[in-house]
Amino acid sequence: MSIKIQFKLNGEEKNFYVKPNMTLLELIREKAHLTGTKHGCGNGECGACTIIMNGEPVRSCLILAVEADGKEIITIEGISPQNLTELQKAFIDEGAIQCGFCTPGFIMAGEALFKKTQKPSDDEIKESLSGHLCRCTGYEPIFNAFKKVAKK
Amino acid sequence: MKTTKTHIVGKNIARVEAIEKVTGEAKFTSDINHSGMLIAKVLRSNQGHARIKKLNIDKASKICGVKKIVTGKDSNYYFGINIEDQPFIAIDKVRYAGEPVAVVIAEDEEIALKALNLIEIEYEPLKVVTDVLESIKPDAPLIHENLKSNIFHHYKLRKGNVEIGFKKADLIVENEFVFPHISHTQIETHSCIALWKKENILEITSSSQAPFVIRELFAKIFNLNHTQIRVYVPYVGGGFGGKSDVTIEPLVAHVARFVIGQPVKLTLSREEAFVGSLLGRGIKGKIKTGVKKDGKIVAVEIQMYFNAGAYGDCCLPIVIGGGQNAVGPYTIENVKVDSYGVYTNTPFVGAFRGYGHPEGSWMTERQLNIIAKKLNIDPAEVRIKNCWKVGDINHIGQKVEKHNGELKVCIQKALKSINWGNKNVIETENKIITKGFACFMKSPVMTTNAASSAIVKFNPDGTVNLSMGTIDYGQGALTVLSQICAETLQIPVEKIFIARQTDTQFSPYEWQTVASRGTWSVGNAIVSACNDAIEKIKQNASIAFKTSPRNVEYKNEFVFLKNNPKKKLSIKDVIYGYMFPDGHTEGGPVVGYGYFMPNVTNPNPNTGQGKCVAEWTGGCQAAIIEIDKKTGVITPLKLVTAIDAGTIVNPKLAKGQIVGAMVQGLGATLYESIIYSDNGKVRNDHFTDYKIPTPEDLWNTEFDTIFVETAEEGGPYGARSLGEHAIVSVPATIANAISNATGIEFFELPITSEKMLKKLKEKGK
Repeated sequence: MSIKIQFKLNGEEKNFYVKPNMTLLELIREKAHLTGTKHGCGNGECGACTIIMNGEPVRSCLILAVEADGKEIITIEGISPQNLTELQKAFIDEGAIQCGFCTPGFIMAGEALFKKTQKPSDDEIKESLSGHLCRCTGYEPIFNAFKKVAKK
Repeated sequence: MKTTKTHIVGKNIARVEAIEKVTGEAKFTSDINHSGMLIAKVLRSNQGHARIKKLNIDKASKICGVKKIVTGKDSNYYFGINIEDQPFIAIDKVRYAGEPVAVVIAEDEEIALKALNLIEIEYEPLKVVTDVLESIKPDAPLIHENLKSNIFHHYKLRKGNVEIGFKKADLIVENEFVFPHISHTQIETHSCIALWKKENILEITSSSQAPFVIRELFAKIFNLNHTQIRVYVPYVGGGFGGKSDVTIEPLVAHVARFVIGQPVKLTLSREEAFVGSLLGRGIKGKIKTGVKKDGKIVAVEIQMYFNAGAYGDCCLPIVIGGGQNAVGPYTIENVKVDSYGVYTNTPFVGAFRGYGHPEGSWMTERQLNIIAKKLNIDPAEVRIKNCWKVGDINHIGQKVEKHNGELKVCIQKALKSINWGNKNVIETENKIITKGFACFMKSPVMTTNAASSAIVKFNPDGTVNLSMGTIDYGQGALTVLSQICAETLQIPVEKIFIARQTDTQFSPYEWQTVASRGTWSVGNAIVSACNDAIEKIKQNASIAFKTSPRNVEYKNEFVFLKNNPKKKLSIKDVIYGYMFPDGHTEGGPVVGYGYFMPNVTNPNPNTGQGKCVAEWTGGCQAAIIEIDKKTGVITPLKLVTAIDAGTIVNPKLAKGQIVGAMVQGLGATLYESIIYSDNGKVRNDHFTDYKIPTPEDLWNTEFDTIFVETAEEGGPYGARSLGEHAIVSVPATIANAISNATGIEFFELPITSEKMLKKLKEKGK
């Protein structure tokens, strides 16, 4: 059984026929072929699959594709198709990237935060990073990248 | 050798592949799909040790969309690089919970999972042993029944005579230590695609640190020559040793043989990544140290039992490397080390950042603190008294040279960073703030022919394509190696494009990306390749200048006559040969080639002595931690590493490696261990149960990375290794800090808040 859903993906209206048990992450990666959103655990524990749905950062592995119906979804590919965002630039400058697998999830968490509040407090930054895992950097340069953008 | 002045070596340039990674463009193996691709799913044993009594795939095979189900009946081949002890899929019996018993190949994942559930399997349980010391007992069940014992390797290191040494000692201290199994938990789980083509060519795409090792092993397993195997590695989402040697690739290549012409992909789930690839560490050890009253060590005797899990292939060289380096960076007259590789019923163990060194450090560096306390002298003094000095003959018989680095300076700088000696302990009603430190040393443990090679190819516009075979799984190799290339060619780094992906069909040979070899070994190969290219540029220029290449000089993208510098040409005029005014062209496109081979030998099998180590990098780690007396929670306030890694090619990236390694070491110190049930099942195969450091844990931590740059004689521009080193002594550093404040001595990792709280209560704190 397939269900027809319609939603805005990175600014474009899209239609998909999906099975009821398909996750939004599967839809994004396998049907929309946007592989910047990563599968790190499938249990909502690592944050690598974070996307923005109606302005909120969410774990796409924990959301069913059918729940996206009528929503507005932004993935890492849709954040700023032409130029790098301030946060992306800060990630590069601060050395906040190593293997790069968790990076899109962190960026999406940050983009959602900076869309809501231009100058987030340290506590707000900390909260936005909660539930995101990085095994390479030790987080310090990621904190620095977030703080750098918050100061601008 | 270090040159007096460098232009781009030593500069903080941004990671060359950063834009791809920050935009999500970077493709990892799991992002790659081929037309006609099939999905593999693995049925894994739920028994730690059992005979397979019945295995029925009839129902599962009938599911529409299932292409093939492969079981242990389909092959009786045992593979391995060092020991051929591992089947692709369990044959007759399973040796660990998580071992593959059947693989379903299907049109999609849902079908494969449905079929997996319909496979009928019955086991006859055997006695399970997951503890390494239980496994060496005479009545322990044999994991491999064709062997007489579960010990598959014994490494011996002998220097002097420990019996005589202990007789000279004023104090002898004996302790036992435990370092449990831990998991690498790269955020990208292992993924591999295998395609057997009809012309008997095997194509592999894999999240691997070791494409050339895979090729070598597959040539042996499948009886192919090296041209028939192509291993391609796209971006890799973290390695830490857990994607070195071979992991899931033999299984995927084996099952893909049954569906020739169709690519087969296996991507491990997070749960599978804990049991289906490699684990790290896992030792129990005993250490006996004899010292004089002034802290001078006169003898040390160590036994290390490595819990290798069910298969020993990837662990065997760690048994050697761990034993070889267990005494740390200290000159001790009498040394006896025995390290054993032992089979148990757990997932198998392989490389984990540090490769045997953190295991030895956990024993040695804790022991030195305990000794200092018993002798009532500063633990720094004990270390300085015993640490390597130029001219010393170390534990494996190698002479310590000036270019091996300034350990004493590192100790001093690390201690200064934590202000050691001034308010070492601050205790309030609810908190204890305390300091600790430990030294470390690491050598690259590798085969004696662990070669690197590189090709620099000039383009007509003067840009350069640089190829090498090392994998950048985050450590920054692409950037650092581009800098070394630019420095040697004397061209702007922006003109160099280093190949981001490795492909055994095109890339020059590289043993594998392990042992912190990239900057040092591949860097050397690149310097050699660049010099070769410069010679060829000079040859082409000599045609233009109608002279011998000896009379031509090269500098900053120009060639000129040595005795008449005004007669000069841009390299653009000569890198594709020189064209005379009439169009006639001589010479040809410039391609430089270079290699590096370490100058080392195998150790003497009876004594472990020999010139087995190509370079050493050492230093000192220190920490200020806060212990919450009510909860036992330990918070790192400051983590310090002072390291003499020779010339630092890119300080920002180097710092990233040091900080990342310290935090990974912190995970093993405070949180991480694999927990087994009685029948050998891993009980914590999720991030919720297997906790790794999170942003909240590090939010209040200050980091200090101190580079002491004693140029390495055998390194490019004086550089040597640093990728793994800062993980090595974090556990001992933290445990020493706890001991310094509370007198509580931890011998077993991890030091969880529960354990800390229990000990504090016992002490009445």
